[in-house]
Amino acid sequence: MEWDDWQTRVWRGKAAAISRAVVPTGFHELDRYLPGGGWPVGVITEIFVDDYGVGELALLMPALKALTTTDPAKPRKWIAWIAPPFVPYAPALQQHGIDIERLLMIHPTAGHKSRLWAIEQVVRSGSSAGVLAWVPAADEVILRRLQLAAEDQGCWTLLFRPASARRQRSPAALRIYLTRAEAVGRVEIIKCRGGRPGVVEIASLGLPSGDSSAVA
Amino acid sequence: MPRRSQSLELFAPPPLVTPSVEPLAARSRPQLWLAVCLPSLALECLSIPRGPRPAVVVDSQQGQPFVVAANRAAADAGIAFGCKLGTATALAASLQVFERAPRLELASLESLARWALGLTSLVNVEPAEGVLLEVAGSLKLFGTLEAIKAKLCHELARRGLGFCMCVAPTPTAAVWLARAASADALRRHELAGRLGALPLGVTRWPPEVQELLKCLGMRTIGDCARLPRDGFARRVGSAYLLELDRAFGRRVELRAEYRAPSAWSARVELFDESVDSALFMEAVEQLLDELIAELRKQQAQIDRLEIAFEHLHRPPTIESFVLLEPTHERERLLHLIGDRLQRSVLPVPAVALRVRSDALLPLALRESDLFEAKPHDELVRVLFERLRERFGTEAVYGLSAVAEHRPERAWAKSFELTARQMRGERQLSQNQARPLWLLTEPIALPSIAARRAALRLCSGPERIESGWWDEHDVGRDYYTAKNALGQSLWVFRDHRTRGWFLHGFFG
Repeated sequence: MEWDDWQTRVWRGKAAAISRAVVPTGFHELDRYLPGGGWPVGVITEIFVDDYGVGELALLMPALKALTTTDPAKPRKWIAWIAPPFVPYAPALQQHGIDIERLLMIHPTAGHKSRLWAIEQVVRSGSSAGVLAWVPAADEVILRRLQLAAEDQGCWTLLFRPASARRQRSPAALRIYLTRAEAVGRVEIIKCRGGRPGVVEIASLGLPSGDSSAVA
Repeated sequence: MPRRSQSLELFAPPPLVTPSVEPLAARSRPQLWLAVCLPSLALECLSIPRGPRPAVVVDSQQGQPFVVAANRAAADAGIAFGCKLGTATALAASLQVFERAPRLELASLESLARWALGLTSLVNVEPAEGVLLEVAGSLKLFGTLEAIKAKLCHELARRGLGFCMCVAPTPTAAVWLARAASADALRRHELAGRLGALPLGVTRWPPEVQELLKCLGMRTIGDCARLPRDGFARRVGSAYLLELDRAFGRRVELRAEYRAPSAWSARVELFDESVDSALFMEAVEQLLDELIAELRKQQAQIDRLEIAFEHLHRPPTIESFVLLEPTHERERLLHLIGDRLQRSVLPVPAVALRVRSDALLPLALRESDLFEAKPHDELVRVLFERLRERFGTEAVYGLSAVAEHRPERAWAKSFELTARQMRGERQLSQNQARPLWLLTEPIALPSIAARRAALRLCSGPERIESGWWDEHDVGRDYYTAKNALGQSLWVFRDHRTRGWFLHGFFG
């Protein structure tokens, strides 16, 4: 048989064609690790953090910058932030290069049902480029439904959940646990569709540049 | 003698000016008016069920009550327009007597006029009489006059109104010919002959004027028209001479255009009182269809809507909807109302629903891409409305940067989601790091000793002193700090209180 026939007939595990769209993360260590070379679009990505301020937003800044500064003539250009725990500070976002006019903040009423309803509505509308949501509790059924909706509409969906939930089962295609020690961000990939679990270390994740002299 | 003539002169009436015939300016297009007269409107608008019993409608406003309209049974008994009530009751034994309702008559005429706006744009309502349509402009669209008349006949039959219709070049002539139930007069040169043959009664001039003309020997309109103009004006009145001029087309006649009112309201009664939201949705859909038809006819859109649930023995429950942008689309309104109805629970069963819209705004058309399935903006708008509807208008907003030194004021919520303006931003230099998360209120950190153990200050201080001109004066030294958990914090030390506060996280 010809070599070309072999190539088409043999399934090569790692290099299986990932035809899913991706958004480059902006960190080359992570890009190399993730299948497709970036955040997967059209599936749910779960990010687990112990506390806020460990660099969870800084991890997304390059991707957000890429998404919000696309050509204005194209539709689907805004990002929804659903139930953010604090105020996303506009001057800081601008410093990272994001067009803040493309961001929408949604504060659902108390109760995780309304939060999940809001996420589902935004994802299903098909008009947003991405959704960032802070979800304390969600069950597998709802997540599966969200994932189907995201796949249908091709929406970049990120859910931030407390680290205690990382042991639960979930249909999300990418699940990462983020911690930071000193300046180094540690991204532990718990589950990755089309790739292997592992740990990626990102140097100087999200810290402002400045002298590190301790002030008395 | 001279004195008497003097006294006569003192009290002499002002000199009479006979109105002269003005030459008609050449018009771009000759008009053609279709008059629809509804002789028994007073009876039909009351929705009296048809039956063998004679029924009359009386008008008791001017002096003695007299009959305005009578149904077939009453007419057979000999009761006619103008009969006194006593005569009528004497003629028919089991007579039903109804009071005239001018408001209902006007409402029914206006409803017909609103429908007729679909045939032509110039409609005039003649109170207690009928409706006038200017159809010369619509002939091209509908083809022939017969087509317009057929549509009109169909609609009038559907509404159960008896009518007489006639077409003439001037409105007054059309009305007179319709009252006499005669055939159309399509050309101006026919008018003189056709109007001339009509009896004087069709003009509906006051009885004393008609009496005077009868005494003078005038029986038809043609007779009046042949009289000398100044004599007619002096004896009868110049107003009637003007009316004759207008009818014959010698004088321009303008009729007030009927404009549909800019508010809309409709009501539906439920069969039985209920709290079932599915039933409400059905009723609302029905009313919405009417509203959408009305909006389409008037080329209008709405941005607020009110649904009132009427209860027995209680004031109605009102649900108001305010839309982000005006709309005339059925789906959007249905989604909005459906969401609200599903979530709301009525305290008491409702017996009727009324949908009301206050302001009908003119339609502003948007250009959209021909090949796009549904315009993107529309999807966004629908989504925003649903979210605002459920969570409140304050819960959905965009961000904007403000040129301010004080960090908590350097950002603002932006509720104008479709048209956003930048309110000016300061360019921050690179060594002025700002945290991605800002706390709405700074949190006081525990005492300095504890702070030193937990936090390690990395950079700073950045001094911000501002706001002496309003009450929110701040004097702070900002530092970035790290703690053992890997968090990066933005803390400051207040000058006045000498306390340490946490203001944000470098997320």
